[in-house]
Amino acid sequence: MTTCKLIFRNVRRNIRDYLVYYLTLTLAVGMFYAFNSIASQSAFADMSATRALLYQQLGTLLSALSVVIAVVLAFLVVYANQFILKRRKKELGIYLLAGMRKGRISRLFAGETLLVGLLALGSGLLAGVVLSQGLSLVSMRLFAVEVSGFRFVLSAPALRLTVLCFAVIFVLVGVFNVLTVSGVKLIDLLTARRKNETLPAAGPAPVLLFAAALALIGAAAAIFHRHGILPVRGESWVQLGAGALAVGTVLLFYSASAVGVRLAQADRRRYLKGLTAFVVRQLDSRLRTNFLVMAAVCGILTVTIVAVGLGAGTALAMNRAAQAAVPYDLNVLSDVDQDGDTDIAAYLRTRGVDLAQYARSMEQVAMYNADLTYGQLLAGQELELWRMDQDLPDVPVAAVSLSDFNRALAMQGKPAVTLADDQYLLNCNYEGTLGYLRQALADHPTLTVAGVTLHRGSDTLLNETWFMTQVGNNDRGTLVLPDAVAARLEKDANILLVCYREGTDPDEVLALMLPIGLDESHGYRYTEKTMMYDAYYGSSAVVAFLCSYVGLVFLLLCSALLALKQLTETSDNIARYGLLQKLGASPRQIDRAVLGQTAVFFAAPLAVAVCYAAFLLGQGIQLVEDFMHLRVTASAGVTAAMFVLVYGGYFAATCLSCRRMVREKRPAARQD
Amino acid sequence: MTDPTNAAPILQVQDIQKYYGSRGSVTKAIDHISFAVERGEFLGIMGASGSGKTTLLNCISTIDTVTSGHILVEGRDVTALHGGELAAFRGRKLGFIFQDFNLLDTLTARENIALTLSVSGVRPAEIECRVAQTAAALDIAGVLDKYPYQMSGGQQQRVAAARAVVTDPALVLADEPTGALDSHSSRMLLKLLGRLNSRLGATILMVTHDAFSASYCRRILFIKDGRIFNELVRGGESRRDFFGRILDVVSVLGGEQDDDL
Repeated sequence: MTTCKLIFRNVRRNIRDYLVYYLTLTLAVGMFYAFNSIASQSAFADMSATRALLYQQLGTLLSALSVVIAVVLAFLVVYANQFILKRRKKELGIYLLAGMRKGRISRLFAGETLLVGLLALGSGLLAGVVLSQGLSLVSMRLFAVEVSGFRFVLSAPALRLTVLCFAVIFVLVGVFNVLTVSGVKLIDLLTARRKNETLPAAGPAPVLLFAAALALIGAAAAIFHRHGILPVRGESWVQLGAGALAVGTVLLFYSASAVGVRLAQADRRRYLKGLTAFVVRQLDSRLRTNFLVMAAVCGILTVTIVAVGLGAGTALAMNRAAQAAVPYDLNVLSDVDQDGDTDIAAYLRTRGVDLAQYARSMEQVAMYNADLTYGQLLAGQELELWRMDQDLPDVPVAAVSLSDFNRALAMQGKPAVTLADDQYLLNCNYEGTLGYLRQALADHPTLTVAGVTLHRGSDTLLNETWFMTQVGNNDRGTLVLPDAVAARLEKDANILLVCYREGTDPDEVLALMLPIGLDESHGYRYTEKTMMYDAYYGSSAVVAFLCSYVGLVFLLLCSALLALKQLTETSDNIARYGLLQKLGASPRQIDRAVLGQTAVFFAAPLAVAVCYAAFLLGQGIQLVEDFMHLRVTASAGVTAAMFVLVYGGYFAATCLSCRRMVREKRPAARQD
Repeated sequence: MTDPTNAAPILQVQDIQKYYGSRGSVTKAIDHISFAVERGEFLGIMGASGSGKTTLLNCISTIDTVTSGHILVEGRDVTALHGGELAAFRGRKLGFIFQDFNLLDTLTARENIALTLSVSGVRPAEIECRVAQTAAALDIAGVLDKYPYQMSGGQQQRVAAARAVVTDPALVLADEPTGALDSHSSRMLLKLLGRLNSRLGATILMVTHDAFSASYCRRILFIKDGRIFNELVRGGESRRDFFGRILDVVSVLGGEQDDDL
């Protein structure tokens, strides 16, 4: 038989063993291509300058990251390949015995690697092309690019990069195989049967170790809770906490199974039912031999959950903010304390910016400080404000005159509101205070502002965006007052609202405004629509991308690692299942035993990681909220979907492969 | 005991055949074999490699199926059993003793013995009681909480034997149990089987190609080319004399096969 024929036959016959290897390769190739192909989507070509810059940065970051990830993937592929070699040692020995020369065997194995590699590369690229289209659509949303520009794209550079990268990996695997084959001794191969499980001696007092592990983890949690999760210079609390967490986790996985066995044995009735004792003991020995791997996987999973949850959550929060209507193109806010009560447009003209040139409509409105604070307005309510609003109760309530408010509405093409001379209205569009303001309106049939008693003008809270702030469009609550009352209050700021003419280039206006915004001697601050989008949504998109890329790769790493470990150990344990069969265990009992072991093996690190991540995510969210002044909820949906797909996929593949392996060795099934 | 099945043979093999291969080339591994085993017997089945003795054992232990004929254990036809019934049958009615004991090394001796009972759904309270009884009978009560690697070879043998008889099986099957053992361990195991037979009343069916091992049996069937060739019964004679008679038959068996002696 020719080598070529043998290669094809071997691959076909060993397809089950190759399943996890193949799956890993396909996913790796697909992901690698998809993330590297993003830069080729033509819809991104017509983005504004700021965004284009960010987008370019993303491209650079991704390709730099891809080098690191290629290395990780290479390790993974070599590791997966090792599993196959191990499983086929006996076959290798038979070839040697049959007098096949080592050179030919090497060629055989290299050829098989190549064939499976090519198949995986093909299906991986196919998956990658599909995935990249989806990814492009998502990224367009994230970068707020018109989706109508979307086109189906095949990225040549990404294709080249992917093929090159995996060609290198396959060559590595091939070399590794050839080295393995030429280094083997016949005797080892033929006796490469079930190796006896070397049970590590039961550690000293597992219950004590378990308690110590829990104490360490608890201490770490306390440290992180008190000192946060960002290292502070000159203090080593965070490092201490991380150390305690790492040691605690390792101890936990080392001792947990022993404690589990004791617990299981305590319930004699359960323990002596069916194959429970067998499953518990198998798991115990497996977890104890693999405690380091389990701890490592748990750590990586934690990082993955936090990264993906936080990244996706931030991006989604940004998107939500972006979707709120942004009614103006440009706001210029002038602080009265600093600049005096000025005409902003006139000032800008003195600085050489004639907004009339660009503006379709333009209005200047004023914001007043009412002579009461939010604390007084919301008195009697139990406040649970978001972290960034903690000082709100001491801030004077913002106020606007009726005519200013109506002019702002008119610019948006909205009907004016009406108000009698002794009435007031409340406006709010901020999620964090909306409920309280609504209650405040109900609580105050009358309100005294600037010595005038005003009646409630309407029972409903207004929900308008009358000016844009730096962060989204957050009006935490504004009193709309009759002009006469407003005039008695202290003016806080003048705000110039501008809507561009058709065809205005926002970048041109921004270029003019830039020096004014940077001028420290004056208090003119501007908020521009595209800039706001770009700075926030662009950077959040970069964060989201990197997080999910790294997260996916880590997830792939963990899943494949667990799957391979489980497969290896099942194949080492085949003889035991044969024995169970003879002892009278039914096929169903055995299937359930295999399933149970696989499930616990996959679930144990995930369960711990979810606990860790739940805690760390809380801390991470606080950081992001404080930093970006944005309300973030971790995106459980995206994270869960990713885990179900990748982790779940590997779990299913592992279960199937294990079951096949065990069934293979079963005594000939009766033909019914 | 007034068990109605007591009088009937424990095992009845009725004219079984086992063919391998397809229409073109049929190998008859078993060719019309019939015999019966009474309660409390220690029966040996001898034959050279390829004689069909292991196939016969596999058919009796329901691991393999017969092509035709019937096998009755305690009057029940096992060739008519399927799926779950089959597993339950193996768990309740058969005990196995393997070449290399085949103890699960992650389980203690107690758990190894209990496993056979627990897979066939015996109540936990009863399991503990029966494990203790069997262990006492085989002198391994002291090592019940040890792992296989903490036990001597003899103790492992006895734990394996305890596992085989703890379900009080109708039939204990042993397939070349001494095949991988040195002579000292072999002798120990055979004595143990004798003790299971005489003291615990177990019915044992042992397959072997080794005349020395066979000499411990009370009756021996010789199989050749899938048929019963001869039968020897050890009456009141000593094991040594019985061994001599076995060797005589073996030489006849072998003499026909190859003429190089």
